[in-house]
Amino acid sequence: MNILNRLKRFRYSFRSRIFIAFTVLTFLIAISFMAIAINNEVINYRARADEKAQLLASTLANTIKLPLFSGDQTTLEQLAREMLDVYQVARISISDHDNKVLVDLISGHAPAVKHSITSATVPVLASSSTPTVDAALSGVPPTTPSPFGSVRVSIDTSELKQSINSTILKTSVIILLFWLAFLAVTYPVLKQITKSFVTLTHGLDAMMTGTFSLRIAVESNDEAGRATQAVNRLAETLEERDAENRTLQAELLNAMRVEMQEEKSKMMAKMIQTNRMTSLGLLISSMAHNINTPNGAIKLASHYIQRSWKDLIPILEGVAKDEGDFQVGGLQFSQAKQELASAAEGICRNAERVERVIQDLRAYNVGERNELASGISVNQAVEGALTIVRAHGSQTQVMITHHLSPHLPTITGNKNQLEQVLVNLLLNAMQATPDDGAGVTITTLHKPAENKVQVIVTDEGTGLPELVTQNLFEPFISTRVDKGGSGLGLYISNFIITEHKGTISFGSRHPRGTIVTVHLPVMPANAS
Amino acid sequence: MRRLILLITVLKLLIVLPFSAEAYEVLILQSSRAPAYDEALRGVRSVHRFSERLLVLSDYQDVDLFRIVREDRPLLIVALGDKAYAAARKVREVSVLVLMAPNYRGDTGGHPSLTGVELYLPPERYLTVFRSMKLRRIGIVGSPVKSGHYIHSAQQMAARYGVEPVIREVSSPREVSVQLDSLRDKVDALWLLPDDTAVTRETTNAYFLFSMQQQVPVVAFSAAYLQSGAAVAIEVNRFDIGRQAGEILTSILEGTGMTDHPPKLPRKTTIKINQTVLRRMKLPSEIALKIWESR
Repeated sequence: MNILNRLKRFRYSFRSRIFIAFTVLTFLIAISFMAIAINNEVINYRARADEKAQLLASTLANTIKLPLFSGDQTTLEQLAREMLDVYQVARISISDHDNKVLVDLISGHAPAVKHSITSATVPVLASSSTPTVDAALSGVPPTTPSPFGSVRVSIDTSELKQSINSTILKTSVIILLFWLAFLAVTYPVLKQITKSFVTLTHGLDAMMTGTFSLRIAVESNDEAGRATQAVNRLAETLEERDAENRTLQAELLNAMRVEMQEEKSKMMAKMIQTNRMTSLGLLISSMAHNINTPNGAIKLASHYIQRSWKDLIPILEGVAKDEGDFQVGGLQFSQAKQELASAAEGICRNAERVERVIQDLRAYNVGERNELASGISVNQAVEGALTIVRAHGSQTQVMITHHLSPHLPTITGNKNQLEQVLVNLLLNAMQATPDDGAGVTITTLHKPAENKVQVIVTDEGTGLPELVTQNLFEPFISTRVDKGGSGLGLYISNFIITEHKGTISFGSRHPRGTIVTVHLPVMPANAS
Repeated sequence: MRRLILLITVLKLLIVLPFSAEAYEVLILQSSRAPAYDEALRGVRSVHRFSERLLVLSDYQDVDLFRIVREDRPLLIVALGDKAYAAARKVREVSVLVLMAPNYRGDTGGHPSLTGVELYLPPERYLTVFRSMKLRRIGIVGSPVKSGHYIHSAQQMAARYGVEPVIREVSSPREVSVQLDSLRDKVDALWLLPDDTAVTRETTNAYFLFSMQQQVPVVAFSAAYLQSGAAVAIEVNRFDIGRQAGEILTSILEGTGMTDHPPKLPRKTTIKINQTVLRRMKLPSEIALKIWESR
């Protein structure tokens, strides 16, 4: 297993790969050189054999010119035999101009294999520099003479195979020695060259386990050395970043803990606020009941007083007519009869108003009726909301102006919910309005083209910052958390308007105020 | 008006010029384009000015000489070289003057009006050289058909120059080697005759091989053989041959008959030597001067 691991490591080692590549490459080069050398040897040998055959044939052709021309067979044979004694000459053939073979001698050492023979045929020509009689006399340049015979010399090339084998053996030994010597020299050199790289690799292996504190030794100033320096710098930076990260993580955890604590506090405050509101609702219910009973009595009494007074006036007028004017409650009857009627009417009207406020408070507090009904007047919802807002008591110095369209169509909806929305919007507008006499305006409009009713609430506050505008309808987001804001008003309002198939939009005129527009569709009740 | 005169003049020239170009005195028939023919032709032209037309036979595949002669009507044909000589010999109606033709041996060949200058030097020129070189036995190989008359003349004159010709006759070049072998140890020099049976490209080496083996000089008829191993070459002077032909031409154009001009032999010769061969043969290199003095 250990050996296998070693082999695996060796196989995937950069140094061993380079060494193997070098080894294979040099081996291939050596083999190529050997092939070239052998090929060259073969070519040279054949060329030498051809040249030798050509040379011997030319020599013999020059020698036999005269005997061949004069047909001296004996001399021809004698010269051919002399040539046949030359080393490697296997066969000599001499022919005349009619290609008739005059001499054909074969050496006793001639090879039986035809492939081991190289032949050259040379024509026997008169000397081209020797002129004819005519040319010599007339001075005309001599023409090329025509051959009057030919000589064919064949060379034994059976030694070629031996020569090739010898060359292969010699070159193989030389190349093997060269290869081994090359490898013996290359390995230490390669080892030295790749030392810095190997050190770098080992260092990187260690760093891969997360040990960034390790610093790799810089062995040389080459690319690997520079890479090592870079890796060291990188490791140092990583180590610093790691420390920073740890610090930041701790800080973040701490901050999150603090934030969670704050959120918890806020949540608790909201819960307290909600609880308080619930208690307030109960209180209001109780108050409404307690106020409603005496108010009913007041109202009843006022009606009685009115009717009584109405009945008493003719009697009292008769008395005044008979006895003269008399005083009632410190006033002359003539003045008092009007004032008393007005007072009784005022008592009745205010009692009704108290009753309505109580009724609205109860309705607002109960708010359980979610059903949509047709024939809902938006103007009435606005007036209801104004009543509640005015009864709120805070920001009494803010002037609320309302412009209600008299021809506003009724819509399908829930009056109480619409009043809740409008109360929210008006309270927000009033709270955003500074205490410098600026006011809030609420307007109702009918858009026949769109078949919609619009309610526009504008204030003269500082407007909404962009960041706030983006999160207006998010729950529990409020700019007045510290002043008891729950962050649910607009969230609920948006929900209610959406339920009414309408939309609510904010147009900030920052820093000159805010316009809130509520679009409500005019649709029959069955459409919902 | 001027334009009309100019136009008439040009038209006249266009009409007259072709006739004037064809009207010439001498048709020069040259075998091929060779410096030797040009040299001889310069000699001809140096004697007399004449109108001519030059026709080089090697420039054409086939020349209709009869039609040219019939149309051009030249007074004389000057034939330079063997091919020109053979072609001109067939044209009977015009006189022919032959020069630089090795095959021209002074005979008319049946032509009614043919003469010329031969390329063969008179034998006494050679004999003079042999005498001055103190060479007595001279081997001569020749064809009786082609050189019989010349060899006979040389034999007749030889005694006067103290020379003894040793003659071997051959009827084929293939016999030259054998005949040369028969001259071993019997001659002091070889006389290379301008005989295309005895002296061919194939046999020339046999003479020089014999010369080398027997240590006897070869006296040739052309300097072209000096580089092959000849010791002395006695050459014709081609310019002077041209001049000789020019003199005959002048005389014929002036009205003399062809019969007044028998064939002529070259007047001037040039002797050239191969000093290396002379040294090997142990012959004095100042032999040329002696030869010159003994002329």
